[in-house]
Amino acid sequence: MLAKIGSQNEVSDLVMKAQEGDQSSFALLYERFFDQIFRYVSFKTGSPTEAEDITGEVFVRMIESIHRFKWQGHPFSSWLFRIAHNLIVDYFRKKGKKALVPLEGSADNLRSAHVDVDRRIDLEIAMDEIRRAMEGLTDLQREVISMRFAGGLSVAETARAIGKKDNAIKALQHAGLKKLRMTLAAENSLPVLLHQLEG
Amino acid sequence: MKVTFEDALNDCLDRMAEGEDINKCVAGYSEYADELVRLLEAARSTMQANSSLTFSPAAKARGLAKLNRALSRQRPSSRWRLRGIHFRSVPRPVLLGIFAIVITFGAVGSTTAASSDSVPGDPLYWLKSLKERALLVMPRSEMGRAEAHASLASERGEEVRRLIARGKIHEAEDTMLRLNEHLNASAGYVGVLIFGDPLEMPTVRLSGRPSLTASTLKSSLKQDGTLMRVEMLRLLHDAPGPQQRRIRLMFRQSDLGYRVLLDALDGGSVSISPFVQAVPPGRYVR
Repeated sequence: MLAKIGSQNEVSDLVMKAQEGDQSSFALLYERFFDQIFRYVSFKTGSPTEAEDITGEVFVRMIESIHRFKWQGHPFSSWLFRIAHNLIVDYFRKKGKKALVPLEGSADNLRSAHVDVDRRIDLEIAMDEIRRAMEGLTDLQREVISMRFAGGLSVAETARAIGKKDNAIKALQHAGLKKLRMTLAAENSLPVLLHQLEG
Repeated sequence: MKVTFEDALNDCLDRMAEGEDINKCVAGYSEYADELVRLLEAARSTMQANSSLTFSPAAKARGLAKLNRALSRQRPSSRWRLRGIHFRSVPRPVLLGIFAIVITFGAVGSTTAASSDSVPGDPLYWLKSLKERALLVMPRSEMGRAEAHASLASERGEEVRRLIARGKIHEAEDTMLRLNEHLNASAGYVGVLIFGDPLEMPTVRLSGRPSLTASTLKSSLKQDGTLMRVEMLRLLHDAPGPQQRRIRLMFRQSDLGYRVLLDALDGGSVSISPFVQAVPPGRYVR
C-alpha cells in the first residue's frame, strides 16, 4: 500500500511537470504506463499489431490533451485508460467488428528468448478460450474484467475510468467472473486452461 | 460488520495480483470458501494469460519514437515565474510592450544595465529575468530561438560561477538545472531531444524537422562549454573541502550537457555516460 501511494505521488509529480512542458516527464509517463495500456489494448483487440498502433496513439493523445487533465479526485491512470477505451471503440467502429475478436497470434509477441514453441501454442490456446468465454459477458462486465485483469487497475481506478461507483465495479466484477467461470467450466476448459497457463 | 461476498472476492483478487496463493486468500473468508475458489480460479487463468502478453522492445521503442515526434510538434514551454506572475499567460505583444517601456524611460536604463550582472537572490534579478523572457519571444525562427536559449544557458553558467564564488551552493545548483533546461530547449529547436535520466532514454534526432544549419550555434556552444569547464575547474580547485563534492557534480552536469548537445548536433554516436547516449540521426525514425 505504501509503495502504491509513493507511486501515485510520483505520477502526480510527473503529470504536473508534463503539464508545465517538461518533455522528459512525458517519456517517464510513457515508461510508467506503457505495459498496462498495451496489455489492456492487446486483450481487447486480440491483435498485437493493432495494439501497438493504438497504444502509441494513446500516448500521443496524452500529449495533446494533458493540459486539460485536472486533479479532481480522478487518478491519472483512469484518464489514460479512458483514452485507450475510446480509441478501441473507434477501432471497432471503423472495422465493424464486435468488441472481441479471436486472437490473431497474440502470443507472437512473447519474447522468444524465454518461451519455447510448445509453450507459445499452449498460451495461444488458453487465451483463445478465455476470449471466447468473454464474449458471453455484457459490455460493462467485459470492460471491468479487461481493465482489472489486463490493465491491472484497482477498483477505484476502474470506477473512475468507466464512470461508475466502486460498488458497481465490484458487482460487475463478480457477475463477470461468475459468467466466465460457468462458460469455462461448461466447456471443461478450466482445468486444462490452468494446466496450460501454469506450464 | 460482515464482509460481503463481493468485498471478499475483490480483496482476494487484489492479493492474488500481488502474488498471494488462492488458498491463503480464501482462508480468511471461510463462509465463502467454495464459491470464492471457483471464481478465483477463473480469475487466475485470466490474469496469467494476460501476464504472459509482453511486448517486444522494438514495439516499445517504436512507440517512444512516435511519442517523440508528437513532442516535436509541441512548443517547449518555458514557464517563468516572477513573484507569482506566470509569464506564460502574458501575451507576447504585452511582454514586448513592457520591455519597450522599461527601455524607453531612461530612468530605468541604468538599472537594467546593473541588473545584467545580477544573480538569483539579488534585488534586480527580476528585471534581468524580464529582459530575458522578452528576448525569448522575439526570435521568429527556430534557429533564432535555439540560439537565444543557448545564450541564456551561457548566462546561467555565468550565474552558477558567481554563486559558487559567493558560497551560495544551493542557489548555484538550482541555477544549474535551469542551465540544462535552456540547453535542452535549444536542442529541441534544432531537432534533437535529450533525455538524461536513469531510464537510459537515448538522444534522438527527430524525423521530419528541417535540417538547420547549426554551425553558429555549435561554435557558441563550444566556446561556452569550454569556458564553463575551465572556470568550474578553477572554482573546484579553490573551493573548501565540504563544497567540493557538490561543485564537482555541477561541473559534471554542465560538462555533460554541453558535450551531449554538441555531439548530437554533430550526429555522433559516442556513448557519453551510462544514462545518456547520442545516436546517429534517423536511427529512431519509423
